[in-house]
This record gives sequence, structure tokens and C-alpha cells, in this order.
Amino acid sequence: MPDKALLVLEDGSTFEGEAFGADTGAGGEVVFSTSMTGYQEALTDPSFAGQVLVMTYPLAGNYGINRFAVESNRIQVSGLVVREHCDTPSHWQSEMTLHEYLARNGVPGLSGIDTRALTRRLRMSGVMMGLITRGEDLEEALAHLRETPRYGDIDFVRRVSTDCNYEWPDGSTAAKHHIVLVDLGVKYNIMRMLSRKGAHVTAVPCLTSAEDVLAFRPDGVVLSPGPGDPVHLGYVVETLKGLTGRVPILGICLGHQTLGTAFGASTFKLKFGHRGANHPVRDLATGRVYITAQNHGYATDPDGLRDGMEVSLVNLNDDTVEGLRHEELGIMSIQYHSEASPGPLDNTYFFDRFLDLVSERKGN
Amino acid sequence: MKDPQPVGFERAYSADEVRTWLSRLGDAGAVFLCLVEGEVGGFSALDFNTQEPDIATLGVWLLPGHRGKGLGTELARLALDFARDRGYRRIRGRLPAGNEVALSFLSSIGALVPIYNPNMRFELPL
Repeated sequence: MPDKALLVLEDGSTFEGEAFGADTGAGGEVVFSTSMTGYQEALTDPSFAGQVLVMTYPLAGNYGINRFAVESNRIQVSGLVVREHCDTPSHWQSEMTLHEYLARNGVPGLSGIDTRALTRRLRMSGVMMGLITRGEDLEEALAHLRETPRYGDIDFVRRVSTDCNYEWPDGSTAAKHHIVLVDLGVKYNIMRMLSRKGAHVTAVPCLTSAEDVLAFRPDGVVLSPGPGDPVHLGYVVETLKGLTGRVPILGICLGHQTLGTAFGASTFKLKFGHRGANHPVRDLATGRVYITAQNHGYATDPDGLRDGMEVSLVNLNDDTVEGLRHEELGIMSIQYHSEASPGPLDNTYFFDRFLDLVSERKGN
Repeated sequence: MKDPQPVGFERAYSADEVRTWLSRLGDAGAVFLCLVEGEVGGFSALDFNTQEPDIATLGVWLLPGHRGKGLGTELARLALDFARDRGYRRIRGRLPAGNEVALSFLSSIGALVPIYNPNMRFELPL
């Protein structure tokens, strides 16, 4: 008989389910993702750091866990909440169950939850702090939750960024372009795709200065996605200001938000964020609509944009900014995830577009 | 889900009030009881609307210990079968704010529940 556990939200509502994964509790901002597959990629996505992830798709774990579908070197979510978890996975690459994976990484899971009701609650009230707990009653859990640092108060980027420079792929020198990637919480698939398209990537820590980035003599710079409130990232904005006009720049997700900030925009928190694999985005130049993978809780307010930075893409669900561009300075950014993983591969063209820009600026 | 301020009946109704309600329903509505080991575990009710004669209202109530076992779905099925036999065309309703569990239940039995739904409305074609 599985142990009972509770998800307690800061509004006092509770959801009782069955504990799986690590025998522990965890707190964080409770968010939902509507992706139907890709639980392993989501678990290891650094942009979920500090969050309790609710999967709206009712079954998780059915194709197990493999060694390939990882987006960082560990599980990043604080906890996982699902309607049902499968302990008998079926896939030729599966090496362990979802339960075993969570347990080995010290992350608690909660199964048997009415995730549709929970998602409706988060949609109506907005994302909020929550706690997966065993053995605490509601009052104890709420007291515990009040002591838990609030998601928006923490600079998670410093927690998930690399401590030292590294190369992707390791040891390759035959690449056409050299891209320096400022790691704000990068997903491996960004580097996989850049590499596949002919780039050699050097990933550097989030605190790397513009001078140190330029010392690599990069052909282009990518600012990666990452977790948390972009308001903490003044140090990245300073780096960006030092890079602007000196090298082509691509910003993805949090990287996009910091680019907007560097050009005068502010950011704001979305009520329940965009997390899933089917968010429609319109390219304002062509009118074409792309179905995109997204994972962000903040968005760029374009009102303050200055110095020639333009909005290039908008979200068709809520009209929020999904992309920026500055043709003269060779800057482009997207709020969504061109690397997908999980999600549709429709937007990998954006890497081609960036590398074309890099080629153009190099004069070849 | 347990809510800090649970939604449901605003107060306990007296036996006379229940009798009056059942009498008002007549053969245009129905109440189905769920007995668990001789005790009432819950019930469903189908009520009518004189303004819109082809539309009925559905409610399903279960005591907390009996939820999650399919009893609510069965109670709803009985009420919906009655509604179809009685000639109703659709079920329409609105829930108190915060009752996302009921919206989730209604979705699971085929009700149309808007994604953005501040008024907690639902509709179920028959």
C-alpha cells in the first residue's frame, strides 16, 4: 500500500495522493505543463528549477527513463505531481522506472491527484507556492510553506549555471562557427542542435563578463533559457550591453527576456505561465504561425523598448511578446524553445536563421 | 481536493424543506440515492427550469469517504438517463467559485467546460 502524501497550496487547499519517488517532501512554485509526452526532458529542464511540476497529461512513466532524454545533468524540478504514474514501462531504451529515477535523485512524486482540478485552480488563481509533504497536517504544512523562500525571491540562474567553461562537442575543432553560449540554465538540446548544424559551442558561466566572452573570439553568442525572475539578472544585462554590436546574438527564453531588458523593456509575471508544446506564435514579418514549445512564467513588456529593437513575434493566445530583433546590430530572440525537447520540431529553423546571420556577418 | 472554505450546500436542509423540493420536482425531475452499507453515501438530482423547458440542471453530491470510487459517475449516469427519457436536450449549470473538483468531474462525464471559466459554467448536451 503506497504511503499517502499531500500537496498543500498556499491558498490552503490540499490534494491527497500517493507518494512515489524519493521518501521526502519538497516545496516550490506549483506550475503545470500541458505537454503530452517528454516527462524526462521536463524533469531535467533547468528552467523548472525551484518548481513543483504538474503534468496535465494523465499518465507519466509509461515509456520509462532512458540515458538519452536528459536536458541537464540532474533532475531540476523540486517535485512532480501526476494523475497516474506507471511502474511497468514499455520501451526498448528504458532503463528504470519514473519512481526509481525520482528516488535516485532525491525528488518526491505525488500520484493519484485530480490534476485537472488542480490545473483549473492554478489557472483561475494563478501559480502559487506549494508543498509536497508526508506526515504533516494542514497547519504544519502551511507553517512550513510560509518559511519556504518564495520562488520570485531567488536567483535560480546562479544555482543551475555551469561553474566552469566547457566545450560541445568535446574536443571538436572542425566546426564552421564558434558560438559562445552564456549558460543561464541551458538545455543540452540547444547545444546538440547548434553542433548538428555546424557550430562548435563553448558554454560559459552566467557571471562571465563581456570581455571574457569576446576573448573567445566567438562568431556568435547565444543566451540560453533558464529559471526564475529575470529581474535578478542585472549582471547578464551588463554582459549583453558589452556584447551588443560586436557579435551576432541569439536570446532564447530567459535569454530573450534579458535582451529585452538590455534594450529598455521591463518584464512581468504571467498569471499561470506558458508551459507546454502547442503554443501558437505569429511571425509579424511573414504572418506565418508556428506551433511552439514553451516554458516560462515571465514575459517581456515591449513598452520601454528603445534603440531600434523591434518585436518580431507574438503569442496568439495572449498577445505577449514572443520574439525581438535588431537587424542592424544582428540580434534576434525568441521566447519559445526552438530546441523543443519536449515539443514540436517546427522551430529548429531559428538556429539556421541565426547561423545564417553569423555567416553573413563573418562574410562567408 | 480539500478546500479551506468548502463549497456545497449553504446549510443543512430540514426534512420538510426536502419534501417540498421533491414535491416541486414531480415527474419533471428526479433524485437518485446511493446507499453504502445501508447509509446514504450521496445522491444526484435533476432539476427543471420553467424558463427553458428543454434544459435541466444536474447536481451530484458524495460524502468525502465515498469519492474516487465511481459512485458519482454512476449517480450522474442515472440522472442523465432520466433526463434523456424525459426529453431534455441539454444540461446546463453553474458552480460556486472554487469548485474545480466538480468541474473536473463534469468534464470526465462529457460536460463542456470552458478553459477560461470565471463563472464556473458547464454544459452537457444529451
